[in-house]
Amino acid sequence: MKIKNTLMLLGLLAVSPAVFAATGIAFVHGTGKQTNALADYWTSEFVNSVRQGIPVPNNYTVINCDFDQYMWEEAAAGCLATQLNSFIQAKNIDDLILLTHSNGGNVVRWILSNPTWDSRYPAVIKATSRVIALAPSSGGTPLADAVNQGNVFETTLGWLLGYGSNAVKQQQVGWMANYNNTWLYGTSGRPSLGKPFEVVVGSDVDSAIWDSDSYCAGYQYQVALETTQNWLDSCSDGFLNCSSQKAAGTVWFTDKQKTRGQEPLSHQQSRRACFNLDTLIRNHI
Amino acid sequence: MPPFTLRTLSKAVSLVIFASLLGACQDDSPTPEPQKEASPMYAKGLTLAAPTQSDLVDTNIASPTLAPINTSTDYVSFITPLYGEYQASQPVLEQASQSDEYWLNVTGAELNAGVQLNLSQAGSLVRIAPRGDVSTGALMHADAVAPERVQIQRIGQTPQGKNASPQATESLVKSLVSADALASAGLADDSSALQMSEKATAGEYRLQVSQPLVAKANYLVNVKEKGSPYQLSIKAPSAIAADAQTVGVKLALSQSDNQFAPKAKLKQADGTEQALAMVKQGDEWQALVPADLPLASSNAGLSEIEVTVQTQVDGRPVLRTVKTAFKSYVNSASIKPEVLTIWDKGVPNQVNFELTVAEAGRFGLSGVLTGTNAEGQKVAIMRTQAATWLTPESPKLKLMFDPKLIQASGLQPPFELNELELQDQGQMARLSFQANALVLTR
Repeated sequence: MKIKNTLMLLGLLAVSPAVFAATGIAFVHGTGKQTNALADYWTSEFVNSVRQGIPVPNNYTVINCDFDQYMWEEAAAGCLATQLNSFIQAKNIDDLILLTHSNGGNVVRWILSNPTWDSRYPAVIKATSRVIALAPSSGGTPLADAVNQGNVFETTLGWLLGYGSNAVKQQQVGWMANYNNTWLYGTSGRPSLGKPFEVVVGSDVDSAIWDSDSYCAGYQYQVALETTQNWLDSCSDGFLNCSSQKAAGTVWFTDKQKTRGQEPLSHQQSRRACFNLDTLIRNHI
Repeated sequence: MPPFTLRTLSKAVSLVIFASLLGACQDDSPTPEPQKEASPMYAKGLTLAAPTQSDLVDTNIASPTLAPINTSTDYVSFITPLYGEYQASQPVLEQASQSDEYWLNVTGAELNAGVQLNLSQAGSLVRIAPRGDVSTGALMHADAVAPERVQIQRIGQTPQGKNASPQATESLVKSLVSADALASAGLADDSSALQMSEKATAGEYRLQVSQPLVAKANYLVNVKEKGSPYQLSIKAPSAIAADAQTVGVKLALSQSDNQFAPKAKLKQADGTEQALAMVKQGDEWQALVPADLPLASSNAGLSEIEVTVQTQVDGRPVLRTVKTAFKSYVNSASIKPEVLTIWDKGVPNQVNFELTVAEAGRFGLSGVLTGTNAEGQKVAIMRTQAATWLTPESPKLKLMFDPKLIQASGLQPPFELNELELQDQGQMARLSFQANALVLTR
């Protein structure tokens, strides 16, 4: 009788998806309102390559939220928590890898830093094992300051005009400094995030028109990059200073240390299958 | 529920009183059940340490006037295990930034007529960005300026005192950048730009747009002088009480001992701007806040103080704008010093706090529990956080500990609660912080 019961229990375990836990990966996009981030933000080539690195490659989800909003808002972190919890429950994930790009790292840091803000956050934090943050805008960018300069109407109505959204306001350098010192963990002198936050840093932009590498999601306008360089350090990915990307967590690698041909990763390239980035992540997870 | 009379509670409080105290906490998380006989659980009243000078503690409370951004009524408790020697974390109360640029708000008519620009070095960047306008009742977005329709000419004298002859735009401008090109590089606000050449040395210039512009349309002219030795720096509080009448601001312009008269503006998160008078007091400037001017228009986002300084350094015209971001808040709650600790099998299980709350709202507490190792060092065990909806009539909130983490740490008393922070999640504001708040004695 005892043997029979044991066998029955084993049989139940074998068919019940709720018993065996699993590794999963979620792709968390950056600033912008996404409805099809797989096609419009990451590309299938990148996602399908990276997810081969986990034991069950189908245990993945691509997040689609409104990251034009402040990180704490329902449309941003609330949406992210809802989609992650659905994924966690559906796939019984207990080893969740969050792969973020740009401002997606800030939204994830918001959740990790503020578990009591929302009753959906604790389950996400408990399931999360690590964050791989591609070019996170942890320290903001002076370009966000530049588009927010100006008169009264510009920031009020910026979202109507297609720029100056709350997410862009939030990523001004001074604003991120304030949030990093009050509501966000993981920067110097602040409490730890409690989970590894491994950063991939983009350090340069290859944009010469005679260099085919610049066409992997690259820039077309050298002169425009030279212009925005007026706001950026010599070490930047064309949108974020390296210091901003390194402001939270620990550096996993700076592009040229590991990429094929020691190519740099511009801000667009750090979310695409450029210079083996997808393979590096796949092998790392 | 009557207020705690904790000082009078004996170590072996009766089960009836114990249960009623536990029930008073607005909590749907599991609470330990007292044992029937020889209970290993007991309650003990303790008092928070007196605040030190570096702590943030203010017992004068007031009601917030702005709508809360978090109205969740859920009790949420969370514990994060910590390891290693305790590293104290102190809140940063000031914020600093510096600027090698300035910006001007101008109209289309002014751009067509020509506006004066001060350049303090060769190779500066001039950016022209259209901005929105609702003065007619409807949104009007100014047209982007084609950079090839912009002329820049030197006026006045060079720093060396020579009369400058007008120079053609072409020789003063190194490159032109269209709005489309800039958008591709992350400046997606219809800006166009002119990168000045090395011939465009320090001096006064006239910027003129030949493209016909709507007269009342709003534009931003931004001059960026990367690497300039003339940096305007500002240091100001990162959080300011909503009823503050003055804001202390430290300003300094590098490479200059000249006196200057700064012009200041308050900019709320929605973009509303208001001029602030500036008065110098010792080494610091005081921005005077008019009595009827709220520092913030919303609990979402931050407000800014923007300061512009114009002066001459070594015969060069130097103009700089710098800004600093801060959180405006109302001190809406405070923690009462008497707390009730619950112990289980000799280790702390929870601390029950009572707050003084001006208005109903969502409040959070957090702290770091430490124990003591064999060498007498403080070692971190866990960070504990909790938040819930509190009202003036029901102002209790408890911080939970995980006894398994305490036991697994092998650490001994004294256990201490550090970095006790009170947050108003409706305002998204830190209300108080106490570095060494409570020694948990059995």
